[in-house]
Amino acid sequence: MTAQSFGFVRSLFLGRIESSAVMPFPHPDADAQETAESVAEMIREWAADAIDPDQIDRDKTISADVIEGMRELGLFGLTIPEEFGGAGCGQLAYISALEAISNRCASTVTVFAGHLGIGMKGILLYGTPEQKQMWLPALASGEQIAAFALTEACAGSDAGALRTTADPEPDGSWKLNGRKVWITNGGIASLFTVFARTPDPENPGAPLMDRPISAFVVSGSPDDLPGLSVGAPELKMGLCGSSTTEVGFEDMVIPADALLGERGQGFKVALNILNSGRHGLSACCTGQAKLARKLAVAHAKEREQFGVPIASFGMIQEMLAGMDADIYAMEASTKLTAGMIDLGRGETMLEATCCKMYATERLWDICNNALQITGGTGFMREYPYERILRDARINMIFEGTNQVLRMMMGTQGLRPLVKDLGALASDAPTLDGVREDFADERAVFESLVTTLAEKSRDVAERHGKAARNAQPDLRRLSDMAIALYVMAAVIARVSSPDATPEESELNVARLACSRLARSFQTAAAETENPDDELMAKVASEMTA
Amino acid sequence: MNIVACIKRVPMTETQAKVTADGQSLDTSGVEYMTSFYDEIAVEEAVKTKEKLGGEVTVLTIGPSDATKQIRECLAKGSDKGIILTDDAWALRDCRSTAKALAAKVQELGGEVVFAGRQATDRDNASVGPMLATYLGWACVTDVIELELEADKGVAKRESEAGVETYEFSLPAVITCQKDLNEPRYAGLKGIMAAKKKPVEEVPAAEEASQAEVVRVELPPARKEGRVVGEGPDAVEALMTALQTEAKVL
Repeated sequence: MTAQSFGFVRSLFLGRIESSAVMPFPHPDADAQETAESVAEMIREWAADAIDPDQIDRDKTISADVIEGMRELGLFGLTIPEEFGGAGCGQLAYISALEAISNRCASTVTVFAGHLGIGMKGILLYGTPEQKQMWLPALASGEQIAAFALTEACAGSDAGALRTTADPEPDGSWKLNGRKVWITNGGIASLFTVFARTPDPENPGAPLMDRPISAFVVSGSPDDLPGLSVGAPELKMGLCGSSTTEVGFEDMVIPADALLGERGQGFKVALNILNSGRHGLSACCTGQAKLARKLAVAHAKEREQFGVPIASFGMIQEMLAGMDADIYAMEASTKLTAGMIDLGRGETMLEATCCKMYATERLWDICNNALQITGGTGFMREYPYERILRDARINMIFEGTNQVLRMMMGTQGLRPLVKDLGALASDAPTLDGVREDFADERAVFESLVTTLAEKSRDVAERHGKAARNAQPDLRRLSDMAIALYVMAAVIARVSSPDATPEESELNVARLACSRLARSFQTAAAETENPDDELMAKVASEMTA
Repeated sequence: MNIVACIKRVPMTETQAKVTADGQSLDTSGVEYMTSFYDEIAVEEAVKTKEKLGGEVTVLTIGPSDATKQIRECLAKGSDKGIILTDDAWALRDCRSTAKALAAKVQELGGEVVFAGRQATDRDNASVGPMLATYLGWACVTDVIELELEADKGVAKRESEAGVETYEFSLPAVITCQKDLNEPRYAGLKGIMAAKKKPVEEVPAAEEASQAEVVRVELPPARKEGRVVGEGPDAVEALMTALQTEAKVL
């Protein structure tokens, strides 16, 4: 065994378990936990009074008093350091706030996450002390709301294909030209983190697409910034209240100090912002999933058919129990990752990506089942099920489609193996610190880690460096890795020395482990007899 | 002004009450707590009074150390310090022994005005406030819906069955707060962060034997299911008969 750390998820591909990353469950200190709880409770109280999610969906806008309420509570500055006028909270408080807002309204949480999670995150990560002083106070108070402007018409999943340009002027300022699409908060923001191609000083004549990308902060609105334009609100399937627009720049001049991070390093800035934003998305999904569960449980208890409440039927119970177990696992993995971030337990990029994929896909299934339990009533617009379902759909697309994320995760996981098969663990891996009555779950987990390593080895051997193009293989390996990370989170959560789970919680956790193991095995079984070639043929003929 | 707000931590509104096996008390296992609804109004009034007249707000409660959570919420909403008179058997105290212990502390603090909820939402006794005023020998107005305070006196409107009564009183006084008095504020992030730095003191509550003893606790009998006697105008006669002969209310 080497002492080298690969990160928890990456190590799973190698058949290793880095127990110390997840065990004991990384709880921030009591003070941070209390803050997170107080913040969530305050939001729940406020949101119940102030937010009408149905009205927001129907009006396709969030009323000014909701935004004003968020300002008054200080929410826009939650994670901004106190020295810049924020509350200086950590990741646990942030995800607790996201979950609490989302539990009431998915559109409203999008404004909040668009601002803190991605819109201004770059300033926190890469801003100089002067830039932080210049921009953060107005962002913390909510006087300015932020937006993240990366995507373009031809640069979606392939964000690196963007064509917006920023050219240096003789006085050091920059001239921006281009058009961004689907910008969350576009219509209400007055600060944009924008990504554009800048000339390479080493190779000034390089064609556009060979120029490096740089990040900029554009502070202002179309009223005070000539050349900045914001399009009409897009008509969307869900999140109808949140503002999504085009944002255009035409010979727009911004000052020299608008450059964020190093010139030419903008793509790295964008990816790091998205890596951190992605984790928040899983908390948003948990909030909406809990809302769907609450509605479904209430309906199942109340609705009688054949003379008894439908909650007594086995097929309804399957759906209810499944959503409870899934939500438990969503919460466990989101909190585990938050704790790893707050306690600095190493790298969390793939961990956050697992949370995003798991939570977004489980949420979709959960709202679908909540609607199914409610039958015809659930289909009526008078009830919130269809809204929750519409709102949930985008989560599997934004901040990286779940397909692109699987490509990224599979490639990253395989990378050490593609270089050297010797990176594989030579001993059977062990997960330390598991409570005694979860010995069975622990044994299953450990054996599945070995299975993942075997499957990874096989893909690495078959494809070598071309493995990054073997998409169906990457998908299956990712499915297995997601199941394992989330399962580790569930086991770590019940094994936490601070936790005193009752039998009912342990049952939910056991069910979660069982479902995760099953989902792992589905992906693993597919590798035995894949239809990859057949599918490629059929699809090619369809699209010839 | 030296302002005191008395609060009680009570089970969450949606708690399903269960009686213990011995039938003597409520089963508190798994119960989550909150600040009693009317006490939140008392805290808000105390903070508003401080904002108008200056001074300091002390939040006072009798309970277990766990009540720190509710005290912190009050501190986040603008109160300055908290005191828990600790007593693990707090739930068994009768109103008199509760009021007596609170009175001793209020006196020691040099309080000039005390705000309390009109009643706690668990026991609904509505007695501790007036008893506290009696032990202190202070003026007391209960069920207040409107209040004007000055440095040494005040005018309060209270709701009674007869209508709205207006009282003038001199300080010190105990005011118990009714629903319409104000709209409690949200803590806000700044409030939550500031509350961490505010002091919360725990001191044992003065021993005082209860004079009232709970002999038996039982849940109200389940209500009988309703019956539809008919539909539309045709139902009127059947309904009248039922009201006269069965329910005997007409």
